[in-house]
Amino acid sequence: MSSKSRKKVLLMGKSGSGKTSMRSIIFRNQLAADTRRLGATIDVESSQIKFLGGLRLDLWDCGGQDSFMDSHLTSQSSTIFRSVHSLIYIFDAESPDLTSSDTHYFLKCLGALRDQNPINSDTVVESAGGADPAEGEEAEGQGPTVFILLHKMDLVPEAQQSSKLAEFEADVTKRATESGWKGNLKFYGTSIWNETLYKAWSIVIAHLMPSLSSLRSHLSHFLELSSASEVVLFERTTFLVISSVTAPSEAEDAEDWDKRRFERISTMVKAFKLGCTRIRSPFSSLTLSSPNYTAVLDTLTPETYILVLARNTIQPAAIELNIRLARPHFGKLEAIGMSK
Amino acid sequence: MQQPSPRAPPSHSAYGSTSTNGNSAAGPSNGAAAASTSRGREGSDEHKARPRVLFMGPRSGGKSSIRKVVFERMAPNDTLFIEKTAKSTADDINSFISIQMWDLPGGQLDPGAWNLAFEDMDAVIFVLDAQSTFNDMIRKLAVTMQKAFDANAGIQFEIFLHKIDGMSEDYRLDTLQNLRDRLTEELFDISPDLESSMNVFYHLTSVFDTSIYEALSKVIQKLIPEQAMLERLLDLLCQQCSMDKAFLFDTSSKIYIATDSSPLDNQTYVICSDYIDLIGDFALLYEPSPLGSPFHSRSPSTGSRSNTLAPMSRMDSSAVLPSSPTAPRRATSADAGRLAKGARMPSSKVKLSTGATIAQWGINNNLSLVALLRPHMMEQHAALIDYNVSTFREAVLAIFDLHLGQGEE
Ligand SMILES: Nc1nc2c(ncn2[C@@H]2O[C@H](COP(=O)(O)OP(=O)(O)OP(=O)(O)O)[C@@H](O)[C@H]2O)c(=O)[nH]1
Ligand SMILES: Nc1nc2c(ncn2[C@@H]2O[C@H](COP(=O)(O)OP(=O)(O)OP(=O)(O)O)[C@@H](O)[C@H]2O)c(=O)[nH]1
Ligand SMILES: [Mg+2]
Ligand SMILES: [Mg+2]
Repeated sequence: MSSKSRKKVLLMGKSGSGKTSMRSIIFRNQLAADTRRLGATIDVESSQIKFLGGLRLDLWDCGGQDSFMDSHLTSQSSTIFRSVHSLIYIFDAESPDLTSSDTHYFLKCLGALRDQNPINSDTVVESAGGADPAEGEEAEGQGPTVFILLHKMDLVPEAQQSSKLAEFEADVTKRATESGWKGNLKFYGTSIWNETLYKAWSIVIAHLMPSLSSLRSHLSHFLELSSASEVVLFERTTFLVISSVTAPSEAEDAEDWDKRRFERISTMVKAFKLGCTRIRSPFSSLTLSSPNYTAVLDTLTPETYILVLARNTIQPAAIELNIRLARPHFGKLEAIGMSK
Repeated sequence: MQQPSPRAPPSHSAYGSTSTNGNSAAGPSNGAAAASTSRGREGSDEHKARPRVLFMGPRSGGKSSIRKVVFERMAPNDTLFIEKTAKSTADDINSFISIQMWDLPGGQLDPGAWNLAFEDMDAVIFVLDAQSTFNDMIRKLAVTMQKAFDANAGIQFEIFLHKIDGMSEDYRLDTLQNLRDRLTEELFDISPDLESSMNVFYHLTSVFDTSIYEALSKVIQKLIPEQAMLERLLDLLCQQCSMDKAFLFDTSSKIYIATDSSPLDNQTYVICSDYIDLIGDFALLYEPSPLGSPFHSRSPSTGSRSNTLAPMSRMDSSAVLPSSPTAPRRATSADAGRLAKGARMPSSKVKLSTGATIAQWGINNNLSLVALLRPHMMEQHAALIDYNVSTFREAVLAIFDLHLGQGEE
């Protein structure tokens, strides 16, 4: 296993901010409601997650109680912060100390990250926005990327959510810059109670995956061949979106489609899949015809699902057939094929 | 394996007449239909079967929460912020079955104060908070029940022991038993034969799981005169298409207005109602205009009936048949006309790794058929199943005297 396909990701933030909750929902198929029973994480819980395309995620869930934080930053510092690919730092949106001690610890972590990865301390160049999961590959081999999640956004009244995130982003960015951090910081508002969690994690995962652009061209080709309007690729167990292509001919109509549709599909289908598993009849595929569209969601490779959406002049069976025919081809692709 | 076979569609008028003239109806629906005529409803054409239901009970029992969660799709957690009901409000459940639900302010046990009369009600739902001490309520409840019974002997009493989430199974049953004993005692004290002649039903409910949908389904099924006939049609369909279970859902509320007569286990209901949610939410992602979607009624608004004609006006002659091309040509071409008519209604299916299928077909803009099919039936007999379903659809619409794509106004 090359070190390139093995990526260390830190999950940090103060105690109770929701790190273990996220991890168990995304990677362990837990229900959001069941996270209420989670106990505090002691020291560090690291888990290895085999992802598609031979990617191995080393996820370090670092206990956030002050005493643990202090030891992460001092005696454990080199163990924790060395050769980190990405840091995901979680802030509790409702914490009263958001701009004081919470940020204080965060800045210390940035410092440790820089100290332990000295060669890579130059700026991580990344375009802002981050709406497209396919971007961000060029960061390969550069310094650690830092994702900041302002979490538990469900507790913030809806009308204030975006301004709260914007203010927070401006404040933290300013203080990080003042402390000497030169890298980019990516901010997302999240909650375990809606699709925002899937949105943020899809971007994190896309960032970790090599060779996504080549995968995207294969998907485009498939889209054309099957006269589809949109295709979306999901990772099988997490149901995170890995890549998607929309037909140029649909550009106008796509304006009316739900902007959050990918992460909403992740959330909805994953919840339904869990229900199927509970009755011991695991989910296999979904076919749907609505007044204007036909959609098929089916296995593409052993580690992925594909959603194909087309105008309803196209028969569901035709889409099903096209998916079946495409399987051997996609199975051979390095980007999503079986990890050896 | 049993071969499903196409059957002749029931003649429109034979079914249509039943709903307008319950007494002359032949068949198993006799009882239910007669009950409706005895309430003197058959005369008014538009609202002949418009059951009326009253929600009553102590303050904060959860009446408004139930209404909002089930009929307006409020998230259960958000019911915390519902304000006390200050005046009686009527909800017209304007979906396929139109039901009028009156939500009374808490503690109010006399609908007379709101210009409502028990005579006009088909059912009263008493919502009691299982987590509170409701003992002193029971006497008041019994007195109210007596009043209602005196005014309307046919009235149906539905007692919802509510907020049972977070209670152990044993504790739920104990609490229910206790309530039952006390209420029976109180009614007996008022008059010994009162208790025995009343229709009283008990339900354990919570807005945090499917129990509230199941309870309301049972309440409403008793109020739909056509229910017995629908059940028979569903039985027939199950037999023909190797379905293990079939539900006729009111799509937006997830209440099922009929199911086949085979025993129902809770898990089957849960997965089918989850499925209705999944496809309803999914459809909204790509059909943002409420006009195109049969699920638009899920959005928190009730006055959606005016939109129901929209999908029809979008028809084009190139619409495809719902059957798969691998299915026998014979069945599809023989009846292309009828199937094409049904093709505009949405349909979907989810395959499970056991080989079984959960399938859904739109019956009209408000009703969905959801069925659990035995392994591999769907792949092997798609055309026949679609044929039977379209026949079923016509029969259902005929029963309610509706036509495809039209509202019932
Ligand atoms: N309202 C709300 N609660 C959340 C959310 N995410 C997590 N929680 C709750 O927050 C609590 C703490 O979550 P954990 O995941 O254990 O917190 P942690 O960050 O792992 O804490 P430590 O292990 O002590 O560092 C749990 O009760 C979760 O149910 C969210 O998005 N919204
Ligand atoms: N645990 C639990 N709480 C519930 C349930 N249903 C309602 N509640 C809570 O009960 C409280 C009162 O609910 P309402 O729906 O306002 O009660 P109401 O009967 O309409 O009250 P009035 O209008 O004052 O008569 C709210 O805080 C709800 O969140 C339930 O099934 N379980
Ligand atoms: Mg933890
Ligand atoms: Mg109320």
